[in-house]
Amino acid sequence: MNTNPDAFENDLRALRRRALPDEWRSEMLQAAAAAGAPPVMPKTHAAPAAARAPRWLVAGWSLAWAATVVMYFTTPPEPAAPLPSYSAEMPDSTAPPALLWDQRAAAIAALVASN
Amino acid sequence: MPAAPTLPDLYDAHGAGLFHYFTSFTGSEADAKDLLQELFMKLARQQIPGDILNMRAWLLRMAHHHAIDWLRRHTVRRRAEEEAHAQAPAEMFAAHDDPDQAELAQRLTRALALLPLEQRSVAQLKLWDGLTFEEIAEVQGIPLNTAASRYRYALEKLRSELRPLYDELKPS
Repeated sequence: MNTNPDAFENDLRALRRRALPDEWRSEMLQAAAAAGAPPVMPKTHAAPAAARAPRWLVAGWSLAWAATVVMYFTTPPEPAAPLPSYSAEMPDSTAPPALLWDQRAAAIAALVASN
Repeated sequence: MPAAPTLPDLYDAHGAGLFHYFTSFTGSEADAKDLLQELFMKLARQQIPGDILNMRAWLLRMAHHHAIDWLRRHTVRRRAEEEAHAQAPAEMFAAHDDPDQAELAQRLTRALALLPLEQRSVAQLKLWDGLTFEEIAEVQGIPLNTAASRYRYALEKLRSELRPLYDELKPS
């Protein structure tokens, strides 16, 4: 990497850049001083209000609670009777275990026979 | 540990360089002035370390990040301004008594405005802020070779833009 400047670069370098207007100095330094100074607080001031939750969070919580309440009041206390087709296919769950076993064995034998 | 420099010291020593660096990003004097002011406000709010070896490079790195943030916020506006800037760029160089130098300065301002931002900013840092390629790479967060190649491309474009005038002014 050649870092030795040639004549062209030296001529460009020789051009002086414009200085900043004098009035900018005090303007900028005053603004900087004001920005750097600690904020002036009145002697009696109210305690800062607690930070508010974001709106999306409030709306989300509200919707979730509303859905919970609606489901609570609309769900019947007893489960609905199973569908007829469902109950016909499924063995009676209240039958004694031996009977239940026979029912299942018969269902499997019927399935094997059909294939 | 050496004492940290004060804001007036920093302004006097580096204000103009920072302003011109901002101008290479914004293309507009008013925006560059706003950025410079914001940078000094930022400096006022923080503790400036007293042990910085190269204060110019340190400030330019801050300025670079600040300018990049500005570019992100003003992408659409910047395109329009860049086009306008290429037509009538803000004067970058001091007035010269020598008419040849004045002409060269004017043409150079226009030629710089035609360069892509990346090349223009590197050329500024190298030619007028006197930074090395290592320092430029650090200021802009780019690899050393990228800094060098951007400078080389920038210089070639400036050379070809200014060649007719330059040959006339400096016959070899």
